[in-house]
Amino acid sequence: MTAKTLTVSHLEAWYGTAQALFGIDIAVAEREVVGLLGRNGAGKSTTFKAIMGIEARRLGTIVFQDREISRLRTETIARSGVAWVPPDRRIFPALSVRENLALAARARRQPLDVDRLVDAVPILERLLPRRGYQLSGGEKQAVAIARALAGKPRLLLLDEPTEGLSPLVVQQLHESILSLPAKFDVSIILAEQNLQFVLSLTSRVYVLDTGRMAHEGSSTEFANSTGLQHQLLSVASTSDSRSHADH
Amino acid sequence: MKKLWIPITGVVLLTLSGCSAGSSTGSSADSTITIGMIAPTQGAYAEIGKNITDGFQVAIDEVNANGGVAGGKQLAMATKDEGSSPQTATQAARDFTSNGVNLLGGLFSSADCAGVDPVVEQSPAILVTASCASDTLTGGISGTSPFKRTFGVAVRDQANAQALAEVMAQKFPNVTNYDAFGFDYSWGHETWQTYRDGLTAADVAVQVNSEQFVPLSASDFHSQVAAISGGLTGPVASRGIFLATFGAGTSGFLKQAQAYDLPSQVALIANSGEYYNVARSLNGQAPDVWNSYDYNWAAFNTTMNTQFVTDYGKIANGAKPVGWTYQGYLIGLSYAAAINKAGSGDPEAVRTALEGVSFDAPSGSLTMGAASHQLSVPSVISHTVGDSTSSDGVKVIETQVVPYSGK
Amino acid sequence: MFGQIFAALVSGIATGMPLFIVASGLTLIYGVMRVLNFAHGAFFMIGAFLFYNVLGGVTGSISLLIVGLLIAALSVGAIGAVSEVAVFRRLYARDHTTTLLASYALLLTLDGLVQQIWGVSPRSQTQLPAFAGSFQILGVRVATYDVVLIGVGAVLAIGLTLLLQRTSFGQTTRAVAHDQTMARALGLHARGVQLAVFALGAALAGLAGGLISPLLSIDPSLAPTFVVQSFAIVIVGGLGSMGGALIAALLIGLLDSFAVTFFPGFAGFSLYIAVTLVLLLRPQGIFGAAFASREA
Repeated sequence: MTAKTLTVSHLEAWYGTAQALFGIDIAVAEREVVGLLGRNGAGKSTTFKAIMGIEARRLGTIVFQDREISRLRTETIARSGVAWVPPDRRIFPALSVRENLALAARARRQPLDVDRLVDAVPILERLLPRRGYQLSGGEKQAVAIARALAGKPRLLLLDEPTEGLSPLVVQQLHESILSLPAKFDVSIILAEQNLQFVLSLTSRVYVLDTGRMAHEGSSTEFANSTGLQHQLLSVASTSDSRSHADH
Repeated sequence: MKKLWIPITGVVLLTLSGCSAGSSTGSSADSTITIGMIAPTQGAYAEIGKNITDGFQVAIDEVNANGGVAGGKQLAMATKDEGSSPQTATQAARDFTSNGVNLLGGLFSSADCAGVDPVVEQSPAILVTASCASDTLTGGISGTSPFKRTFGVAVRDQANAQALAEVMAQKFPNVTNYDAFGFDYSWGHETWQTYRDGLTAADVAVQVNSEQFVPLSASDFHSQVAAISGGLTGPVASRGIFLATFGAGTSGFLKQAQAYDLPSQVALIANSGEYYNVARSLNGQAPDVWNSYDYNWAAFNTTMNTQFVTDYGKIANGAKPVGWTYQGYLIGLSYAAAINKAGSGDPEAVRTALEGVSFDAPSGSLTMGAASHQLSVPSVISHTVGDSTSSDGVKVIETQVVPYSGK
Repeated sequence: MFGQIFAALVSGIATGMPLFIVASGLTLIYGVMRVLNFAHGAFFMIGAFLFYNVLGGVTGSISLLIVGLLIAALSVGAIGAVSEVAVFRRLYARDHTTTLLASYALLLTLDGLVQQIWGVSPRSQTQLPAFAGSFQILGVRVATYDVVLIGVGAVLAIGLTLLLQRTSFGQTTRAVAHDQTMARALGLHARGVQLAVFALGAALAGLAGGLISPLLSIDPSLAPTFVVQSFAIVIVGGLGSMGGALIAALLIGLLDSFAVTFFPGFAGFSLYIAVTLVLLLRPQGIFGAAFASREA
């Protein structure tokens, strides 16, 4: 394993008095893509929010590029190079796509390199003048990823990117994500219900179960262990790539 | 975050409670008789309240300096906020009586008096009101007060409007085309009606171009001024504007009217209600206005008036007293005279003494009507214009005293 | 008849434009922070008092007028910024009732402060001689200062729209207005934006106070009056909508002036009739949602 981009240690998180994460550890290397699996409510989104410093109260250490960030504000964490793509994408509806991208680039004091973003997310080109509220679900996902990349982050937290997308769009997304680490020099944590999608993109997976880290290992190993999949994800076999809509 | 609520709640409670710090307990030591004054101390009418209590203070200072009342007792003032509703005013009265202060005075708003008068009627206290001069409180022209324990020192609202009509009918018999602008409550409507009827009774063929009534709290009269300006008819010499307003209503109207050059397009602006304070606030730019109210500092050439104006000027940076100051002053004089007559500060004795008591005032001798409970205060018609070289920036061109009508 | 209609039209716009100048700051603050700021009227009043203080009651020249307006706007903007940090920032996460109560408490506090500082006597600001008086156009008398106010209102409306739509500050503001969490997750300084917007909204109130002061009695009764009218405009126009506020202010001004001219009996109520009708027929206001979610 090369130099670490992110090391999460003993991360605990609470919503009010309810504890949601119970001491989880995650490590991501430079340009590595790791999967974060788990049933609905297992704590995948909470993990991302805890890393970003959103909503939940948290304990533990989060070291990003040799800097302890667990006590920083959300905007400072973002400026240090962590980008978050939430499951509901949250594109600013009143702003054009170009404005959405420009905002993210400016927040991190980066020049907006539209060509580079279009290269990674081809459908972006025709969407640039449109307003956020005029986009379809798949288009919003594409813009959300492009917006996250516009600030040239070193770590991308992708939460449920395939949710609600048609198989064709999922395929395009797969190609985009596959190219990102090399093109953008970025590491990715991919939280997904779509097991096939994760296993085909990642080298290692973490599996959460009710806020605890239940499994950590190589994607190949997890792909071959139907027992583990059944136990942790209630998945019958590896060929059953369930979409989120089934839940 | 909870911490923040402590100061905020504190501030809210403090503000709502009217910060009644400063009111004395009223437990009158033998040598002091305390009178509880209720007047607005905050908000839109705080200035009026200050005028009333300042006038009262001048009166009791003069009385005390001349040896006090009832064989050397000193008069003292306690104050409570009238607030901006009959509820707060009534509460202030209850607070006084429960603290043993049963000689009450003040009150600016007739609506507040309508709440307080019946409460005082059921209590051991008595009340001498400042500017509560609506007919329902004074008994109107019947000459009999509806309240046994309440007295008034203000000229009846309609008597002022009537006096103005009589004088304007003489001075401006050719002004017949009127536009009326007034506050949209009973006082505003009745004042205009009385003025108009008064003109008609004096054989002025009044023609009403427009009647604009605005909420008491309004301060933007663009539309009304524009409508009056656009609807003016007849020769300038026949045009008049009647204002049934006071305070910010009058000054807002006049300023916006000046923006339309309205004063130069009419022969007469007449106003019934306190006006001198408005004229003073206009920085020497007040237009030419004829007004009728209880007082003008230049109206009475008496030693007592000179004394009153001088004494008030000492506590008010040389400013002249206005109608409200005068009312507060008359409350003080009424109580002093009645306590002297009664020989004590006992509320029942003072109540009996107030009925029919006579005393000297800046306008000459005044009598508190035995049945009407109204002081025989004349109306003062004053003709003023803004003038930055005059004191207060107001030049008093002419005054005329219209005697008390007996009702 | 034509003369009366034309006069009512002119006076309606002249009535509406100052209302827009006051309401613009209110709607801006609501649009970004979802705070219905009752203290806005106090900001307006303080603007009028400061303007009076700076100029000493006499508007001597146009440059003094501008200096007075700038000082009024900047000082009230600073008061707004302090209020944001001291009071509102801690309450954004709470429900509307809490912020509403806090803003009411602030209104009462500022009211009390104004009375402590300036006393209870009404003041008056004289008009700049160049702006005093009136002129005739098509037989209708028009106040010179009304034309000035209409001009300033139009410039402000255009300026605010450009600021929100065409500048990076505007982009950031609209992003924060719509989704503060996402804006922060992108690295935007949401707190700075909120502070700036609150200060700007308050500054607009202070500017309005200074601008309108020559037409009013400057006294402690100013605060509640203008807060009621501004709220009506913001409700009619659509909470948070700048364009809506402009149109609502002009509509209410026109409604008022036509009512005064042709149905004087309704004049006092026209504001409330408009608010009631809008709440019944289009509860979200003429321009619907806040400017953050659609075009302004």
